[in-house]
Amino acid sequence: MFYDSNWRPIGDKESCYPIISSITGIGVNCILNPSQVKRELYFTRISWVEERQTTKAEDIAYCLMGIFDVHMPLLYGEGEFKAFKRLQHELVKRASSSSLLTWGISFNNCISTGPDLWSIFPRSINRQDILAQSPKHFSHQLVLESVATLRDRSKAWVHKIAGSKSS
Amino acid sequence: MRLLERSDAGEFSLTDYFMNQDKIPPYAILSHTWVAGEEVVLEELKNGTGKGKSSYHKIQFCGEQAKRDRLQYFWVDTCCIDKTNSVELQEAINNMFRWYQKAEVRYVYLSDVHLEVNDDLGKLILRKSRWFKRGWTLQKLLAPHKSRPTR
Repeated sequence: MFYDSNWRPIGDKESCYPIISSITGIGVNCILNPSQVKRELYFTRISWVEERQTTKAEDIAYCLMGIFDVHMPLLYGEGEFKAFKRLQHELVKRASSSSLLTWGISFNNCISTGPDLWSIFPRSINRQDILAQSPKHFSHQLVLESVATLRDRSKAWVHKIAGSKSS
Repeated sequence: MRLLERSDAGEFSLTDYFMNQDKIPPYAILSHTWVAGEEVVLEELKNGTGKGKSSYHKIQFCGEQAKRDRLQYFWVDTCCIDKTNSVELQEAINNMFRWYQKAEVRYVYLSDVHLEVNDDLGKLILRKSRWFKRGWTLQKLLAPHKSRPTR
């Protein structure tokens, strides 16, 4: 139940779900039925914290642990980048994590850059940079339909990196 | 996990730490945004100095509402975790999602929302709330509800 500043009941998730979905960018199905959350792409789930704030920088990664059912040590002082990379490393160990590689792509630059796979990744092409440094790179404005397309592209990208590694 | 308990006299005390997750009794849980310097921490709840803090009303309300919901225990993150104990803090953060999931009822306090007469306006006004802008509140929104019989 949500309460206002004077503890007057406002409503629960069931009665407030349209406005909650609109505020948070989280689909109505996940709000009403949180067991659906685990079916969402990693990309989508990370995008839910894109615009959220935490007092400690590392917490923007740590606050996602529950959403992904990940347990990892908390190392306050390591900074947001390292914390977020550790989280992603935990996720990469699992199957179906390829949507993680679609970070940094907005629908606009996807269209404007055309089919050149290398140019849509706004960073130096370096295996060290394969993971994003912040949830802010997971724009929720990316239309979901394009995620599936990009997922295929990111697989091709991984193959290309793997190829360059072995050569 | 450590829980809060309200006595009939309206005083609050902390339970012992439940090492075994299966032994945790039914409880209510609070989600809120912190007010810097005004939240009651564990030590202040124990020694009674927390009563002077402006956020003490959160503990009072949760205790009263839990009682109305026929629950003896409740959990508030500010004072149920010993943050000076890094092992306990680590365990709390890693289990927070589960603890929200297992709560019988959840109270979400939006300190920056002032309900208008019209209920629908109240819902629209949710948009302004900081609660939707903070990182840790996301998992509190999305932790699946424990299925419970309707009262």
